[in-house]
Amino acid sequence: MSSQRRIQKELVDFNKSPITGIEITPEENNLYKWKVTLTAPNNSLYKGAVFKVNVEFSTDFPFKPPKVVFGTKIYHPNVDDDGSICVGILKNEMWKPSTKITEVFYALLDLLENPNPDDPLQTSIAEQYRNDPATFSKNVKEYIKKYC
Amino acid sequence: MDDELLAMKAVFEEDFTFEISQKEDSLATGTFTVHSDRLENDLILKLGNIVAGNEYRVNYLPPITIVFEIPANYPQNEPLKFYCSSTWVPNLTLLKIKKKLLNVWKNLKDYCLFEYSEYLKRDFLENLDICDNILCVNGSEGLFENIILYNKERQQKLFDEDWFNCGVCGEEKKGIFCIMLAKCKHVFCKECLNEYFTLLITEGSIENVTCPDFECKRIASKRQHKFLSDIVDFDMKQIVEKDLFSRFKNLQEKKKLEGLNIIYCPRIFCQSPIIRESTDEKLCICSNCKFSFCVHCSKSWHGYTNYCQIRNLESLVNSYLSENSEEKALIEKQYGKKNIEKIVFRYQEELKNKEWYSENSQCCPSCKAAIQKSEGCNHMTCSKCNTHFCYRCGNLINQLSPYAHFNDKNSPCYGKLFDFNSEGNEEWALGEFDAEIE
Ligand SMILES: [Zn+2]
Ligand SMILES: [Zn+2]
Ligand SMILES: [Zn+2]
Ligand SMILES: [Zn+2]
Ligand SMILES: [Zn+2]
Ligand SMILES: [Zn+2]
Repeated sequence: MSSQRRIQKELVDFNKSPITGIEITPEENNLYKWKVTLTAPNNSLYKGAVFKVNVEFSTDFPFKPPKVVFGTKIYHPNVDDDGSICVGILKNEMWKPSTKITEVFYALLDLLENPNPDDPLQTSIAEQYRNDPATFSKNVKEYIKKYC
Repeated sequence: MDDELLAMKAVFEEDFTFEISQKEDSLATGTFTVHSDRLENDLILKLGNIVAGNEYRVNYLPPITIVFEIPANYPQNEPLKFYCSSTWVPNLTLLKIKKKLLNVWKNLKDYCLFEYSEYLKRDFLENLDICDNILCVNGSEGLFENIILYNKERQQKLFDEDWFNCGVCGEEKKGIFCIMLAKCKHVFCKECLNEYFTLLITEGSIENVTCPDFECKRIASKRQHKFLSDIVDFDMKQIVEKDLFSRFKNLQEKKKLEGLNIIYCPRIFCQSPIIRESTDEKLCICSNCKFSFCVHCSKSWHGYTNYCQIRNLESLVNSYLSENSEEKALIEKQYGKKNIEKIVFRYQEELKNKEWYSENSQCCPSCKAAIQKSEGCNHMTCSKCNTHFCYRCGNLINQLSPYAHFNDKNSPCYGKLFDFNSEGNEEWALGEFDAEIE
């Protein structure tokens, strides 16, 4: 099965039923790299922020998950300094080839609404999220002001 | 030529054959094989005392054939001449079916072959021995297998002609190019499954060998200490090349052994895997949450000398004592041979104890506590609630005159303040009794 066909299909399907807050622009001449902008949901702490997200497919797609990385710095317990994300469905051992890319975007939006301190990439931020939500919220806002 | 015959031939094709008759009083002869429709409810097959497993439920039953001759005066004045035949319906039932079909003609007095086919597709079930979706069949075990095989073929044919959307390549494919996974029934194209599993087996990550469906969860939980995969061998054999299949089985076996040395933290929010250095070590400390617990009972650590409260101790002991040597080895590996032997010994001791108690004790009539009498008289005082009662008959005894129960001639225990089970003690006991009365 050709990964290219499946990626094309994902794009077609996405354009047919787009998700509010998500915009996809594939790189010119390279279908395997997408630039995505993610507008934070209004009911999240990140309200008003727009993040850059890079999606990169391998030729093994969909047998291997795409690499999804934040291109904008974000203060979040499940995103580390270089933008790597810890989301269940993108983990190698949890990935299922029939996962639609829209599913991945829904997971990202959900991560902004509901940070998951039980499975953190940044333990100190996770602890702060749990024990000191006010400071956490303040830091989120500062990062948005600085980087978005 | 007869319109009915031509119409039937057009609809039923190779299932309907006929020949123009040479005889004067008949128009034609032929055979008509009618395949059942898909049954609304799955049927479970039963042959004598054998009940087929759930995986052999059937939706289709093998056909019934009508061998017929069309008389000259058919259809207005004479019914079709025919008999029913089948590889699996008992002859008596076939006769019943024939009667029903004859009635169809009696009501119509017209062409009725099409009506016959309708009856034989579904309604004929009313004549069979079906109760609670269990179909009793008579005959040999071969018959059993034939019905199951026929059902499979029909299902496969239907599947082959159907169209499916493969969730991996996203393309519409005809069923003949697809596989339905045995456990979860999800369908994918063979090409995608082959490519996916070939990749996973080649690189050795067989724990990912599961159904590719996004929402299809692994069926068992990881706490069962088994290698988990919802792809059964039957599926895998159809999907990958022979040598990859054997590599898959080898890797599976290896993972299973490794799995025995891995234990999962019993704290629900943690469940981290912990590798045990020795299977004889009872104490385990989770490297993630630092919980120290007992490997055997999963409870927080109770020290080496205290016994564990194993939840399903009885079934554990029973499966250890059963003849299944593979199971025995698995348990030994998990608990350690010495430990499991100790556990079994202790369990049996306790069982013996319990039996002895139930034979040698009487319950307090008030609080039901088991009171065991070692020696002395039959006047008992419950150590728990202080109720006075008779050990012989279990009746309450008046605290103020406790011996009246043994001195009253109308009492069932008259003269039995002392009586022991063994004969030899009887005399001595009575002697004591006299002395006390004085
Ligand atoms: Zn496919
Ligand atoms: Zn499945
Ligand atoms: Zn733990
Ligand atoms: Zn224990
Ligand atoms: Zn009592
Ligand atoms: Zn008594």
